[in-house]
Amino acid sequence: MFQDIDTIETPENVYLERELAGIGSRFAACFVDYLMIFLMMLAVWVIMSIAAQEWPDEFVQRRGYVGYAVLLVIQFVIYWGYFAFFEAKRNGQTPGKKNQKIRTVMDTGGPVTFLAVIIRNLIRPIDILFGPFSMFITSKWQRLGDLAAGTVVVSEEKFDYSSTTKRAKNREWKLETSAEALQASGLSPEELSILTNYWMRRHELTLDARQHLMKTLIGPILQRKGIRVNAMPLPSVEREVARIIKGGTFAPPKLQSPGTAEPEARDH
Amino acid sequence: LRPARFLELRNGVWSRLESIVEKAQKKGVARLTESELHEITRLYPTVTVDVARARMYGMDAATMRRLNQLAIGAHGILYRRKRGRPLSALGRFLAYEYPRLFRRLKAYFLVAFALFAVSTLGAYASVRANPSNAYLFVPRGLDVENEGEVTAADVGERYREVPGSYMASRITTNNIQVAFSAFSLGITAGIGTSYVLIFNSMMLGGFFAHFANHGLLRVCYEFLVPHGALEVFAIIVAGAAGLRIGLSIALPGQTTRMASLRKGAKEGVLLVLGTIPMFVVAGVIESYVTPSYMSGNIKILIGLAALGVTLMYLLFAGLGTRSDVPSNGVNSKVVSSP
Repeated sequence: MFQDIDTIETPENVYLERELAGIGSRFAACFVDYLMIFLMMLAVWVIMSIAAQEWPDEFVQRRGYVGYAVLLVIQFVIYWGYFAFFEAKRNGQTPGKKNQKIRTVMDTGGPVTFLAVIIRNLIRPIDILFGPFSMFITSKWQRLGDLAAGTVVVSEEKFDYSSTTKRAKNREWKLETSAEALQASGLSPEELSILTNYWMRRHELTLDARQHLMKTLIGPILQRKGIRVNAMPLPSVEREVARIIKGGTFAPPKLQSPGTAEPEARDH
Repeated sequence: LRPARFLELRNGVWSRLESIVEKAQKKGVARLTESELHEITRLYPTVTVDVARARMYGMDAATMRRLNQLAIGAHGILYRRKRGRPLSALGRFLAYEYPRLFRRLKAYFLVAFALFAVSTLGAYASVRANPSNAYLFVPRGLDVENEGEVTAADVGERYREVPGSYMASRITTNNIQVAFSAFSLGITAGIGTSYVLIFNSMMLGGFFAHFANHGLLRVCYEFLVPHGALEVFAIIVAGAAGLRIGLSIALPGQTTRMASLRKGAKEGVLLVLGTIPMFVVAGVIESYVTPSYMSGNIKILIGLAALGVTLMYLLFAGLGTRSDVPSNGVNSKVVSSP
């Protein structure tokens, strides 16, 4: 994944980390926003042409052209004002960015300032050409407007590993981050994290990879808990892993298998 | 303290701070109650310590992410710049900040003006020397070659074909876009800005020369100066804004290029924003004064007066030190601290 971490230092001398928005979600947000602009302009245009039919005198004839004048001003304001308005009003989030769960913030920390919003959005038309290039060569995925305004776009997605595999359940994910499970396991958070991740993602791995991880990664952790891994077949070890991450409060899960890797589980 | 106990102990604090931060982000800091404000200033420092502690324990990725997001959210609420009321900020900007900014950046204006003057005169001389060069600069639609005698009245008729309100909005929005692009192209180290300036002034010079070749210079003055004086001036100011960005990249001086760019962009964007009212005035003049039946001299006078007033404003408004330090401190750069 093209994601990166941005670090800011607080006045308390603590380094805080935030996740930068990937290039994909930024393009997607941009696409949504331009679609919105297009639809808004279309709507204005439709309303205006209906109005022109209703009141031709004011809109088309020499006396007025007021309709066209208003149309032009509205389109100008939408085109140049859409991004700036939403980013200023909604703390760095246009509808497209909200959709993609990303937000513009100052690279020094705090919320984006009014002036920064104006700068980055005045430079936007140029970034349609140079922006992608600039994003690839800067360390924080900044387009030219971001560089000039001193802003970065960060991701606010609450990332959930359970979405990476269908079989892993939310419940297992919550187990890893709960104090009770950690207490019951008697392991360090890192160790528990390794076990849970292994458990959730085991179906994505080949049998060879699982055997390998057993020896190099999982085995040593289990050994500390007095489980002798060498003498056991893979499915039994995995059952031990399940028992540990569920903190003994849950019954060992049934290792029912949708895939090919599991049949041995019944042997044991 | 074991990691498990740490999670257990602190979870309540995190949830509480999360709910306050979320409220502030959704409804604005102004909607927080006094006790919530006290709470946020009290809880935030402890959460930053939690971030460091969680890192030491090597907590799992989800907890680290949660803590970082929480701390950054609270940090954003606590360390922000004081915001004045938007209207009074606009008033201050127009009353003295903008003219002062212009005077501070007058060197950039002079450079932009020199670019403009040289290319206008160059194009003018080239078309005067060789009339067919005119088509390098003037679109064929504006050709006066085959129309025989063209008088001021004819040009006026062309102008009057289009109603004022429509023309005003079209011309104004178009000019503002040119100004915006002159500013934003500054990020190409000023090359793009120079291109916009040179391109537009060569068109102007070629246009004048083309009319002069046909003995219509007087018509040109009557129909360009009323609105054009202010319009061209505003374009040059926008060019100066672009050069401010461009030179901040090209010649950063003692700071880093990035820091220099940021400062340049801040000053440049204010300079270009101030041209918007100028374009609006110029657009109104172009739509209602230029095509009117007033005598040419009066029209030219109106145009020069508009430019003169603008210049007086930029050169003399906000002089002196009295309003340098706003008494209410709204403009201060001090951040609130917990």
